[in-house]
Order: sequence, then structure tokens, then C-alpha cells
Amino acid sequence: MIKLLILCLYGFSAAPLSTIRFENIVSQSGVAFVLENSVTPEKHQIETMIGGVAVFDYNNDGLLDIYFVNGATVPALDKSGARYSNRLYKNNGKLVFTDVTESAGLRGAGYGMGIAAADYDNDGYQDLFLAGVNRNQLFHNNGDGTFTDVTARAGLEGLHPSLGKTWSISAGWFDYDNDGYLDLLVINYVRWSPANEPVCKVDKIRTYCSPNSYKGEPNMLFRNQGDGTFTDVSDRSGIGKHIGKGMGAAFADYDDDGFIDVFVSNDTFRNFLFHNSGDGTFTEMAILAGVAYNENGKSIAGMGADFRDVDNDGKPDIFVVGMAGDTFPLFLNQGRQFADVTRAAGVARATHGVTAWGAGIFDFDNDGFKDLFAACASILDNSEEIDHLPSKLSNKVLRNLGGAFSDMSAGAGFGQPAAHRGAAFGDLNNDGRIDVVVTNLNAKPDILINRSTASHHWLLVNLIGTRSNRDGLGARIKITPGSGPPLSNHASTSVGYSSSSDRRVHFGLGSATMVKELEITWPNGKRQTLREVKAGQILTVREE
Amino acid sequence: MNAILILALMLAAPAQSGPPGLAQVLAAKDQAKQGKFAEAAEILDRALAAEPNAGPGVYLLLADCRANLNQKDEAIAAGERGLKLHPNSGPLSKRVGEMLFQQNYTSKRAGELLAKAAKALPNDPATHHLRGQWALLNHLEEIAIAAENRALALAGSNNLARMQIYTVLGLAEDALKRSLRAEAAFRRAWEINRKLPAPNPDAALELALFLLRQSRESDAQKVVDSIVAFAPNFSPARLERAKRLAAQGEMEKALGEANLALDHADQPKTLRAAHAFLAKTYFALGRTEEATSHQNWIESH
Repeated sequence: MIKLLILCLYGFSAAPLSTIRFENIVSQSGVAFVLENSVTPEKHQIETMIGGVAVFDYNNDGLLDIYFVNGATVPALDKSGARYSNRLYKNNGKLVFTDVTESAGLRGAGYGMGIAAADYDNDGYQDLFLAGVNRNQLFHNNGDGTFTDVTARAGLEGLHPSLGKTWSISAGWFDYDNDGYLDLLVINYVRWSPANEPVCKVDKIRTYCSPNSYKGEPNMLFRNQGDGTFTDVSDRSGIGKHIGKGMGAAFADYDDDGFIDVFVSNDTFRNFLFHNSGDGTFTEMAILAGVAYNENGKSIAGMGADFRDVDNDGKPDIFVVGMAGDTFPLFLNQGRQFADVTRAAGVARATHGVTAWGAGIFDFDNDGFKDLFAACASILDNSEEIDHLPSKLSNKVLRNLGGAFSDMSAGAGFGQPAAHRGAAFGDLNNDGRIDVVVTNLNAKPDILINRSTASHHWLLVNLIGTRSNRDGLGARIKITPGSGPPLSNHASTSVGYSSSSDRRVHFGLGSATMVKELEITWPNGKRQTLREVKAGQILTVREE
Repeated sequence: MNAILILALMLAAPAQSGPPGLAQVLAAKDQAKQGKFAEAAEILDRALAAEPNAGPGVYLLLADCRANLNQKDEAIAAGERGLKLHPNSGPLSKRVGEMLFQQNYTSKRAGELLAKAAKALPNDPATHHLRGQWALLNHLEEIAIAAENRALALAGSNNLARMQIYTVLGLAEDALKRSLRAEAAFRRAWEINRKLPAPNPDAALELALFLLRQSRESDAQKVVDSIVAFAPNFSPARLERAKRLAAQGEMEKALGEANLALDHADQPKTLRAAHAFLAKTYFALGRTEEATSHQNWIESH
């Protein structure tokens, strides 16, 4: 009788028990950063688009540090006030961080937007590229805790030959020509200047304009010459011929031809999928590959994106977040083209009516299936007045059940809704569980430490390229766990919206305590195989 | 939210007119009856210039005439002038609120007027239904549900109205993530809809789309197949059928359905959706030339 009653109660249970749980430790972390967007009555578009965050190990102590970009005064775009400084927080261990911005020389300049972290000069230290409204900046990591602004010398000011300074919103490092040096893709949004801000009102209430009020801008590709300088190859490569309203960029070799391809999400414009032809040129394939639109053939307000193998078939898939009403498309890679499984996989049900910015595909509960994360908030800070929707939202995490996704957000410990923006992913405390740092407009960030309790095993692979780029970005790893199906992932810091994630490659192994075989395909095509690798470790692999 | 569907449903709502207060108004009404709206409006303009303190029905008639002449701003202005004199007029509030809603579904003034109209005309189902639609499109789902339930109680045996009301209820419940209630409402709408002399495919498709969002593909396809049976030229249903067939690997059949969707697409968004589907499907089959032609169409539009 009691058993019957319990079964009945289970029948009424609204959601499966969450196995993904986070704790926001910002209040005890020492991180005091507040993302200042300088809200103005004129509702300048840049205010709602900021900003990114990076998790990267700037001092090679094995602990991920955190860097935040910040705003500036509007319309002057002046960053001289301390409140507008970008901030670098050194990870001291035990999840305590110290602000080292001043000693590192990383205050930054102008109104910032996005970050891309990687070791562009192969000296063993990760450098920082900052995408911004009025200027871009490249900071070289000197290896002694300081950085030097080398933007001008590198030729990365972001000046378009005909447009001048574009509004760069995010960027990503990848080696498109497999020459061992990381090249830089800069994602540009729309033509904007404070002097020409259109006036947009709903019922006499001033609000941020739709992207349709602005002209789009082309993205830019810079080839790393290997001597600290870069050449603008936007036109030559074909990347610059396509004008969108770029937001997120994610990299993967989707057709397994040995060259890294590029997915770009656009705001209220169809997405781009740049197929790397291997000869220095790219062909835009989004329509033919089936990733240009959502399942209804609609251009979504694309925000952040990630490009990783969701269904463990060895082929990288695409997850894009968008605006309420869009649902967040999940495209499964079928080789040359993709199948939209947003509805069939339960992602539409979970994301219908939600707006998100940051996004990531990571295995948060280490069960061997990568899950989906979305950093959520409305676009308008006055959406309560404008369309009776909350401007602040809770984040979302969808657990991968092996093909279908279950919304675990309610029990995930996300806390109060906030004006979330960029999200960076990485293991901040090296416990094998992926943590998330999420920026919030005019508030401290969320530092979401993964407290998922499942006793699953994991492996974190720290790649060191020797002939390939030092960070190993673009390297693909296939593992065969002691039990369960093969798993694959690849090294990329370009994840989500305007943000930069851990370069180390993470695997959740489920119940497997051992990896029978680990095969790395380096960007230059060379394969390296390790056998009998123990789970539960950060494994450093140097390219042979 | 399907704004187009809602606005299409709104157009079916009949306009009401109040009693005339001036001698000229009778003449104007006569002209309007004959479809001579310009003449009627001229008479009313002259009458109101001479005697602005007319009853609400005069302003309502003028607003209707201007609306029939497709002079939307003038129609709203006439109604607002009447509302200054008769702020509590239910019919005027309803008509001006409706016009403002049609012009801009986020209009707060429309919401205010429809709320006022609902109070003034508590037994008018069309007013409650209008208010429910406005509330739904403005993300005020609980208000929408309350208004639509009131409309439902008053709708009697008007099956077209009941079908519309249940559809709005389904959309509102779905927005609130109350999927059981949403499905119940959509199903009631569907039961009524399929028995109508001319079933509405747009409303029926809302049930199919709801089921698809719930990952219930086969349930959704049953509805889609029924829609195709009564509306074989309804492009969105053809396209949904094509997607299903493609997912099942029946690519040639999928192409056939998608080409029918393309042939019958009467809106830019359905046209683009059909081209996008055809482009990727031909490409998947290695038929690059056909794929590229659809890609080119998209890129040039």
C-alpha cells in the first residue's frame, strides 16, 4: 500500500532529480568586479551588448584565472575611471582570487566587448585579444605576470579598409592554415556611432533598437605571420565578403578534412558556416548545410554558440542560443550537413520563451554526455515596461540523457535571476567538474562552481603543441573509455558569446576508471596515441 | 506567438456602431450603408465641426468610415476625439482599442481601452476576446486566460468564436509552461475547428507546433496530415510533412512535399522556409545544382 502511494507520488513529480548542481561562490571569492555598461537615457546599443569573460591560466601555475572586460563612459567611450577598468583576477587556489589588474597592466582601453585568450606566439604563455567598440587590443603575456599592449605592432587595431574601426563584439583564435601559428577571427556587429544612434520607442518609452535599425558589418580574419605581426586576409579568404551582424564564433572541423571550419551566429540574420577549403579560402555553406535558420526557416537573434560533439558520434554539432520565441537550435552533424533536432531532442520545449547570450556544450555531470548551458537575460533592461517580460532571467542547463535533453535548471542552484551576458567554461578548482563564470550587467558576476554529486569519473587533457600551435587549439581527441562508447572533443577557447574558455579538453567518463585508448589528432594531421590512461587526472600531453 | 494568426482572427470581429445624435448622421449612415464611406465621412466631419458635442455613436460611425477608407490614423483620431467627450463609452473604447491593437500589438493605450471596454461591455464576448488577444501578445498570459474564459462563457454556440478562444487559451497556457492545460485547450480548439464548414489551418497548426515542441512528433504528424487533408494547399503543413519524411529518410517524398509547400507559399517567411529546406535536402542528396538554385533564391531575397 505504501509502495503504491510512493509510486503515485513519483508519478506526480514535475522533473527528474537534478544531477547537475552549481554553487555561486562570488561573495567569498574575492572577485569584486562589477560590469559597468554606463546606461544612458539615449539607450545606446552598445550598453546592452557588453560583455565577455575569459578563464585562462596567465601564469602557468595550473589554476585558471579570470579576466573581465568592462565598459566606459558613453558617449565618450572613456575608460579612465577605475570603475571601468577591465579586471584580471589571479586564482590563488581554494577558489580565492586576487585582483592583479594593475600589476599585470591589463586595465584596457575604450568600451570593451569580447575576449579571446590563446598563446599566439608559441612562447608558452596565453595572450589576450580584446574586441571592442572603438578599439581592439592585443596584450602579449610577458611570462612574468605582466602584459604589453602590442596592438599596433601586430596590426590588430581592427581598422577595416573601407569602414574604419568596426564594432567588434567577439573574437577567436584558430589555426586556419595549419602552419603552427594561431590566426585571429574578429566578429563584427553593426555600424554604430553615438552621434547617429537611432531613436527607438515603444509607446513613448525609449528602448534599445532592434538590429534592423543598423547596417551589418563584415567579419575580419587576420593571418599570423609568425613574427608577432598579422596580415588582414579577410577578402582573400572570403570571410570578409559576407556581411552579417556577428555575435558568436565557434570552431571545429565539421567534415573531418583536417582544416578547422567556422560557425558564426548572427543577430536577426542567418548564421554563417565557413567551410575551410584548405587553400586559404572559405566557402559559406550555412544554407546548404542546414544551419542558417531555425527549424521554421527563420533567422533567429543568434547570440552565443558552441561547436562540439553532443551525440558522441565523433562529429562536432552546433548549439546556438537566441531570443524568446526563437528556441535555441541544436544542429546534429551528419557529415556534410546538419539535422535540426531542436524539437525532437526536447531543446525547443526547454528554451521556448527564453533569451540567452552565453552558451556552451560541456559534460557538467561527467556522465559521458555533453550537456547544454545558456546564460539567460532579456535584451532590453526595461522589458518589464516594454513587453511585460522580466529583464533578468535565471540561467539554464539542459542535461543530455543520451539523445534527449532534460531541463535541470530549477534545481541547479543558479540563484536569483540576473542580467546575464557572457559565459566562460573551465575547471577553476581542478576537481574534474566544469565550472562557469557568467557576467552580469551592473552587478558582480556569477562564479558557478560545479557541485554535481554524481560519482562519475573524468579526464582533463592539457595539450602542448610543439610543431602545432603551442595551445594545441584545433586538436581533436578521441578516447575509448574502459566502459561505454568512444567519446570525442577538441581544443578550443572560442565558446559562447564574447568569451573565452579553458583550453584544456574535458571528458566525463561515467563509470569508467580507465581510458583504454586516447588518440590525439594534432592540427597538422599527426596522430598520437596513449593507452591505459587513468581517469581522474589532468593529463599533460606534449606533441611528439 | 503567432501575431499574424491573431490579427487574422481579429479581422473577423464585427464592428459596432452607436446611435446617431444629429440629423446629418442619418444621411451619413445611409451613405455608409451603400458603401459610400468618403461621402459619409465628409458629412460627419461637417456635422462634428458644427456640433462637436455629439454622442459616441457619431464618432464611432466616423471612425468606421475612415477605417473602411483605409485611413487608419484618421479613424483612430476620430475615435479618440469621441473618447475625450465620452471616456466611458464601451463601444468607442472597444473600436479604438481594436484599431490601435491592429496597428501596433504592443500599444499600451490599446490595452487600456480594451480593459475599459471589457468593463463597460461585460456581456460582449468579442470585447473579452480582443482583450485576451492583446494580453497574450503582450505576455500578460493570466489576464489573457481570464479574458478568454469570460469570452468563452458568453460565446454560446458560436463555434468559430469558441475555436478561436480555445486557441488563444492554448497559446497562453503554453507560454506559462502549463503543458497539460495547453494541450487540453488546443485539443478543444481542434475538435471544434475540424467540424467547421471551413476549418482554419493556421489555428490547427498551433496544436501541431505545440506537440512538436513537446517532442511528440508522431502525434503532431497526425494533426499535420489532417490539416493537409482539408487544406491541401496550406504550405506550412506541407513543409512540416516534408521535415518528418526527411527525418525518416524518405528524401524523395520529402522533396515532393517541400516543392508543394513552395508552390503554395503565400508569405515571405513560408517561401523562405521552403527554399531553405529544399536547399539543404538537395545538397544532402548530392544534387548540388538544384540546391544552389534554392540557395541563390534565398541570398537574392
